[in-house]
Amino acid sequence: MSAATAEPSAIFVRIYTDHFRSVYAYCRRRVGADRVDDVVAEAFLTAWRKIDEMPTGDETLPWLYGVAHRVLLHQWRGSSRRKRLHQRLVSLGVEPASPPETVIVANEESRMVWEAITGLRETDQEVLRLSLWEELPHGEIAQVLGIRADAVRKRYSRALKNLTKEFNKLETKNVGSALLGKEAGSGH
Amino acid sequence: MVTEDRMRTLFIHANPVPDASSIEFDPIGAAAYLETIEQRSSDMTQVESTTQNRDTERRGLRPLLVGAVAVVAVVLAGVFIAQIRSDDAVDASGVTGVWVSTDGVYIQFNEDGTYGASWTIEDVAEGSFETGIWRFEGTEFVWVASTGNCMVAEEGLVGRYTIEPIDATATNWVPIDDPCIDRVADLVGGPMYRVSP
Repeated sequence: MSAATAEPSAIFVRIYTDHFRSVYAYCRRRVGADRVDDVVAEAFLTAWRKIDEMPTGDETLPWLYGVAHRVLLHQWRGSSRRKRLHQRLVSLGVEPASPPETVIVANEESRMVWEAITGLRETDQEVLRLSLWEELPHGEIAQVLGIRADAVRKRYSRALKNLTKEFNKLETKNVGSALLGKEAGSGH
Repeated sequence: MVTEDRMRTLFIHANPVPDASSIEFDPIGAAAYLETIEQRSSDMTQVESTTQNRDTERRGLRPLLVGAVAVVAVVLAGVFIAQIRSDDAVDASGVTGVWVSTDGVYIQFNEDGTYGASWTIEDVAEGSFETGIWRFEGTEFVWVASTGNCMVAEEGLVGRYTIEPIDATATNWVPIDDPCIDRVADLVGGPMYRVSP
């Protein structure tokens, strides 16, 4: 159902007022503070251009998330090579001046979660975020990603399994490194 | 070792913006933002209108130009296709080894007809996000997943591609038919580059 029965500008202002915070939070959870304003602006600009297609009621926010998701997808594709370069520089002991994504990380466990999730495919990462951070039901996640609800259920369960595997791998690696450091420190 | 339940909790705690209502919002900004957008749209309309006027002026020459461009395009396409056909087609020996896509996905094609895909070269042999089998059927490259996102109801989706050589280390993978959107997304972002034989 379209929202275009009222004046488009009035609809836009209402949608912007009602959903700005949610869309901003969605974007901030996925990109650094330095880029979030641009991404949010691009998402709302796209929403304005497609206002005739915008659904009403409970479907509006998932639709806006879908718009923001596609804006981010374009950016992620472009930045993936920069990420690889960044990882390579870090592995060589060179700290780049500005990391490609600067996220707020509360503690070591959260840092490991962020590191572990990069081992998953983009769609799987997004299913987890939409489910656990935006708290969307599978039907609405399906709407955001343009896939079927039963596919969301399968992807969610596979993504959580793979994330757990990646996390445990990192934990084992970190414990191993810590033990090696301790041995070296004790003079052996 | 964490369990999936614990992982779920850790993931929720890793949310960098747990409370969206804490985000500052200026309600007056909505109208101002709309004005900016409308100004931008109006500028775009003016640019389009100017372009259309110029187009009208050039309309008299258009049929001649279109004809000339079409002839040149057909000739160039013929030369290009002839050159591609004369190149050595990519076969099994040309595929085995490790490749990286433009979007940074590493894929290792093994001589025994298996493959693995991963975000890192260290994990590619294990295939941390996808494994499966590959083969050629004539000039078509066919791959079938055994694990990962290209599995539906325990069955691997079959992808068919044409591999177009660009040079000794780069190829374009053009989907002929692939129902697995993740695999298509990994490959259509640009050329695949050979990392090791």
